[in-house]
Amino acid sequence: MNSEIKRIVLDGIKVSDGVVIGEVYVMGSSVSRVPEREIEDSQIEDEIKRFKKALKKTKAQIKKLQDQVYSSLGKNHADIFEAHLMLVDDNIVLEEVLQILRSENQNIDFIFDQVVKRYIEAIRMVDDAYFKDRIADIRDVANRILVNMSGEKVEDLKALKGKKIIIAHDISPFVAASMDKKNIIGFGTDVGSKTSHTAIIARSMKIPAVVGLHSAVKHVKTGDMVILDGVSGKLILSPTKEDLDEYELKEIRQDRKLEKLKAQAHFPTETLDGFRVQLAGNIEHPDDTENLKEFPNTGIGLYRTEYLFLGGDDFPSEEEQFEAYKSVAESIAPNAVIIRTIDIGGDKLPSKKSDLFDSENPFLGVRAIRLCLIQKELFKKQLRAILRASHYGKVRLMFPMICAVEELLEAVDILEEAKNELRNEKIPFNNELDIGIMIEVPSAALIADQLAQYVDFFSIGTNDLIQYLMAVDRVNENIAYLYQPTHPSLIRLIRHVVNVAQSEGIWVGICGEVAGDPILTPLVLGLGIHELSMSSVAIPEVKNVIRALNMHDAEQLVEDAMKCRSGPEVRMLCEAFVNQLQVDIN
Amino acid sequence: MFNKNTRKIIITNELGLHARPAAMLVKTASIFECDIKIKKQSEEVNAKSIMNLMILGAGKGTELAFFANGPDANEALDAIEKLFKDNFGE
Repeated sequence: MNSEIKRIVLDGIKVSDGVVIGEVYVMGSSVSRVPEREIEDSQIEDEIKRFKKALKKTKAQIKKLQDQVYSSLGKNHADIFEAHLMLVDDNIVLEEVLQILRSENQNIDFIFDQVVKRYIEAIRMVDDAYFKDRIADIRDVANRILVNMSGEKVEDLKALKGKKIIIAHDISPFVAASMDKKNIIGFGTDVGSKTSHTAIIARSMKIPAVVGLHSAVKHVKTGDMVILDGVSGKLILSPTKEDLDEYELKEIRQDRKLEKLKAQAHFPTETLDGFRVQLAGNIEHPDDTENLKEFPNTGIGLYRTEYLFLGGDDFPSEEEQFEAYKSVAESIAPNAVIIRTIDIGGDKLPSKKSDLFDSENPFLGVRAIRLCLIQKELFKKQLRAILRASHYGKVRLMFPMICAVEELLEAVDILEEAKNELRNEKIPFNNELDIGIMIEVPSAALIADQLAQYVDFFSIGTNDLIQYLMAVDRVNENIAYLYQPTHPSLIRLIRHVVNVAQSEGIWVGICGEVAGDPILTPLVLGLGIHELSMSSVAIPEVKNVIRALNMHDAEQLVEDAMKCRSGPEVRMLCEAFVNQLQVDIN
Repeated sequence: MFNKNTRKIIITNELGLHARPAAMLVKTASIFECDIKIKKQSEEVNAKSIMNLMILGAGKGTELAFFANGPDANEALDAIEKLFKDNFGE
C-alpha cells in the first residue's frame, strides 16, 4: 500500500509574525521516567547528600538564568524566578522526602518525583486558574532537580545543529530565555496565550511563533518538514507540493519586503501633492520599540501599558513602571511616545481577581479610566511613573474610554495631584506634557467640542468605537458581519470629530485596525487625519499607499463614501481607489 | 512554656495567597520555631511550605484557621495576623 502521509493543518494563536518552512525539533517537556530502586540503610546518607547537591545546583542555575533574563528582558520577567527559587527552598517538602526515604528505603529521586506528583494532583483540584498555572513552574523546577541528580544532560538549544522549528508542549521560561536566533527559526507550542512569556520572547526575537496548537507534539517528530505560519496562526504538517510552493513564494516575498522596506525607510511619508503624514507604531512592551527603529521619524502613537499589569502576579510598582516608560521614552527619542494609561477590564483581565470586573457586560462595566477613577491610588501611581518618565524623552499622556467631561476633569485633577507630589519631592518631570484622550465611545465623539477644551489631542480608537457604535460584540462570530470598519455611521462620526478638533485647534490621530489597513488609508487621510498609529508590520504598506496618492483625490473619496449606505459598499470604493494607484501592496 | 494557639483569619487582600503574599507568609512563618498549620475547611497544610500553600488555593474572602504549636506560638500568630491585617502591603 502507498504509505502516503496525511497532510494536517493545526490552528493556533498567532503570537509572532512571519512564515517559515523548516525542520522540526521536538522538545521533550519532562525527563524520562524516574526509575525505582531499593537502597540499603547504609546508602541513605549518600542519597541525602546527592539530593541536597542537586538542590544547590538547581538554585545556582535559576539564579544565573534570572540574571540573564533581568539583563535582556527586564525586572518584571526576572521576578517570576523568585517563585522558582522558593520552590527549591521548600523545607517541608524536603522533610517529607527524607521521612519517606527513611521508612521506604527507595532511591531519593523516585521519592521526590512521587511527592511532587502528589502535590501537582492536589493543586489541580484547586478551583483557581492562578494556582493551576503554577503547575508548569513546579514541573519545571522538579524536572531540573531530577535532571541534576541523574546527571542527564539538560536539553541545550544552543547546541542544536542547523536551523530548526521548535515544537513543544510548552516552552518554559528557562528554555525560552536560552533560545538563540542563530539556530531557531520559529516555534509552536500546544498551550500558551498571546501574553505568555514564550510569545513575548518570540516577538522580541522576531521569529514566527504560534501557540495553542493543542496537539502538535502528538502529530510531529523531530526531523519532520513543516510549515509554520505566524501570520494566520497555523502549523501545516506533511505539507503538499502546493503548500510548499505557496509558502516558498511567501518566504521570498517576506524577504523581499524586508529588503524593500530597508531601502525605502528613509523616504518621506508624504502624498504626491506634498501633504506630510505622521506614522507611528502601537506597542505593548518596551521591547517592541526595537521594531520601530528601522523607520526614521516614527514615534509611538499608542503604548498599551496594561500589558505590564496583565502578565505578572502583582501589579507593577511605580518604580517598575517608571523604568519601563523611561526606557521607551529614551529609545524612541527624539520621536514622541503616547503613553496610554491602563485599559484593564473588558476582555483584558489581570491574573489577580477582583469583584470589580464581575459584570454581565464586561465591555460596558468597570474598564480603563473607570477602573482608574475607582482605584485612585493605582491610577496616581501610574501617572507619577509617566510624569517621571516625561523628563527623559518626548512623552504624551492619553486617557482611554473617556465618555463624559466630568470623567476627564477627574482624571486631570488626579494628574495635578501627582504633579504636586512630584514637585514637593523635587522629582523632575515635564510640566508642559501634552494630554490627550481616546475617542472610542460614541458619546465622547458627540461632545468632542467640549472635551477639546481640556486636551491637546484626540486619538480615535476604531476597534472599540465600532463595537460601541454598532452595539456589536467584537468576539461574537454570529454577528461578525456587523463589525464594519467602513460603516457610514463611523465615517460620519470620525468626520464630526475631525471637524470639531480642527476648529478647536487640536490634532487628531487614529489607532486601531483601521489605521493599519492600507486599503483604508486614503479614506483616513481624506477625512483629515494626519497621524496614523499601527502595528509596526503595517507601516511599510500604508506608507506605500500614502506616497502613491493625491490628497485631493482622497478627499473626493470621502465625499463618495458619505453617500454610501453600507460598510461593504464603502469598502469596495476604497478597494477600487487603491487598485488604481501605482502601488505594490505586496 | 509550651503554647498552643488558634486563630481565625479571613483573607482581605486582593491577591489572596498568590505569589508575593504566599512568599511573605512562608517567610514569616519560617522565622518561628513552633509548628504552624493552616486549615481551610477540611484541608490542613503546613504554613512554612510554599507548595502546601498552593494546595490551599486560597483567594480573597477565604476563611482560614491557623494552629500554632510550640514555645513561640503566640508571637507567630501575632506576626501572621499582622500580615493579613496589613493586606500584605498591597
